[in-house]
Amino acid sequence: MRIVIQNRSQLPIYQQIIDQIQAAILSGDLQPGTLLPSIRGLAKDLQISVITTTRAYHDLEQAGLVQNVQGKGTYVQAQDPALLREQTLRQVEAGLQAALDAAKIGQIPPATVHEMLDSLIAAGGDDHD
Amino acid sequence: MRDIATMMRLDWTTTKLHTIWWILGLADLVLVVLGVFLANTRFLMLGAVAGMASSALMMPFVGSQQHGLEGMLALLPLRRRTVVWGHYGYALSLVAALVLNFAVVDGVTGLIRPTEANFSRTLGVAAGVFFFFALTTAIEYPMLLKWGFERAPFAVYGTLFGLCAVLGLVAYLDPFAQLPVWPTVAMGLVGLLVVLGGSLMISLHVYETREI
Amino acid sequence: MTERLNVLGLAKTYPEFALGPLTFDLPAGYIMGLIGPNGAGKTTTLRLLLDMAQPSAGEFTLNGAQTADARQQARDDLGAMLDSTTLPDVWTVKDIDDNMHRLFRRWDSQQFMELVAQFDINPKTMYRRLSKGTQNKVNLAVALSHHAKLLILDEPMAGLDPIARDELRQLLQAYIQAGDASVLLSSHLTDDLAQFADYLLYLIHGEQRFFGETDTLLNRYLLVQGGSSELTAALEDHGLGLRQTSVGFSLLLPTTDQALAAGLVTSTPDLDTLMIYLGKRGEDHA
Repeated sequence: MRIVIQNRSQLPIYQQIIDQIQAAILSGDLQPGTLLPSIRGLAKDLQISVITTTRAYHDLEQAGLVQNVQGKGTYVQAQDPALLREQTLRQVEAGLQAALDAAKIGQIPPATVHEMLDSLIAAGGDDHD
Repeated sequence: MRDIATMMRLDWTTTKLHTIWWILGLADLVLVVLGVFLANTRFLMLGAVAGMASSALMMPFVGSQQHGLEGMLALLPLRRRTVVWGHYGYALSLVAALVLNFAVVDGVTGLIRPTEANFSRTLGVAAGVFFFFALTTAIEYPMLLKWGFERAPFAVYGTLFGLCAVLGLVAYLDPFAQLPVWPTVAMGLVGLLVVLGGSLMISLHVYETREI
Repeated sequence: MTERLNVLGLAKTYPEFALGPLTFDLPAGYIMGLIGPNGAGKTTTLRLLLDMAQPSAGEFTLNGAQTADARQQARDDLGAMLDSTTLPDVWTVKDIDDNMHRLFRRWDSQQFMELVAQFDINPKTMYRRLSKGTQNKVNLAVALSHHAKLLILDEPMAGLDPIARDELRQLLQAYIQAGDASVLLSSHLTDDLAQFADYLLYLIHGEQRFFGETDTLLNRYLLVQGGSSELTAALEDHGLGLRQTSVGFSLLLPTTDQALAAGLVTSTPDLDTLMIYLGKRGEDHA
């Protein structure tokens, strides 16, 4: 379980927690049914207030990512595959759109963009600079 | 009841007496020896008892910080009325202990050197000293409880001064020669109880709303 | 939810200073920070809560007790430490342990001795021979060692180096871990406090300026900075703590008015900055 917060960041701490847990759930690092650290335990470990962790877990529950079971703790929810796919599709689309925007600014022709996409796919899609 | 005893015990442990009991024992020994070989040490002892009593009576109210130990008492599960009862209990038990010590030393000296002995006189003096300091307590404590030692040193020294003056006057006039012994003692005792009772009531009232 | 503290309209009037009315609550299992400039009335507030002074108005419930006498009898459930807290001159750590054992129902000797060791207190020295800072640590150790349900601490962090402050923070967070005990502490070290305090009570010149969740206070204002020419009349009117220099201006603006700062540099202030701009008197308008 990995949560790292930055005090000086402009992003509120509870938001940082939400983002990191959400990312871990969506990427599969946190499997459905996993018990998350208790609200109070997390507050103590991160040296922040209980209200902050309470709020983070509450918002995560609202988003359907976790479920708080009275007396037991907070568990990761199984995600709807269709919903997950929908979210992932949107992420891919956003990434592609960003690439096209950049190409437009740099006046790179669509044909070149297609070539780059093909070669990246051929390389297995693991080629990160 | 148990809480009052706890409070008395606190008052006792905060004075330095409990660490110097052995000095007291040594002093007793010296006094007996002096009494046996020299003449009357009774006044010496009375002076010592009076000195110890007057300073020890104030110990619960004096401290290195403001208001003595009230900073601590406020944080303990002791009701304010318990604190007051405890202070009075401490004062009377302290005086009783010192007076008893005096009586014992005087009595022992008298046993070893009978010529100087006068047991009824010893008892009379002991009772008188007890009476004097019980009265001191009754007058001082309400003032100390209301204002604390820092703001009422005049109350303390003024009381001692005043009572000593009255004592001097009484000794000069010596009404006791005329009066029957036991009824006078009985009345004195009743009077003392009334004064102490009144003093206690005033103290309880005063301390209930005292700002610490 | 159980409340450790429930304060309603509490006020105290002295000849030179008026405090209150104060209204706030502290639920079980949380930490509240009491903040404000020097002389704001923080210590007076704590003294009122400890029944060391009687209020001129208002009332409060502490650990469920509504009268001074009831609260005094329930001191087993309260651990407190003020600057004026003392112990008998001649007592050593051992004397303290022996006596507190008799005085408090749930005195934890082991806990006390561990804290004494952790705070580097010489157990053989008489109380009066300890430095004031060490005396404070002793009093703090006593407050923490009888399983009290509420801790009231006046500037416990003062005089501690960063390592010691961090250790104390850990102790306090551990103290509320079970969700039953609460802590109320006053502190000048507000940046530390902003991190782990759930609630803040902010006093300025005897008045209750704010009470609520820490985040609410921090999000209530924006820090606005800009060039001198960008300072509009509206900004000056709505802003607080205006500072002007040869290279520009800065002020606090209520977040509700943030439209007025369009185009200027804005940021969320940290607690220290917020308090500096609100100042000793928290003046609203120039």
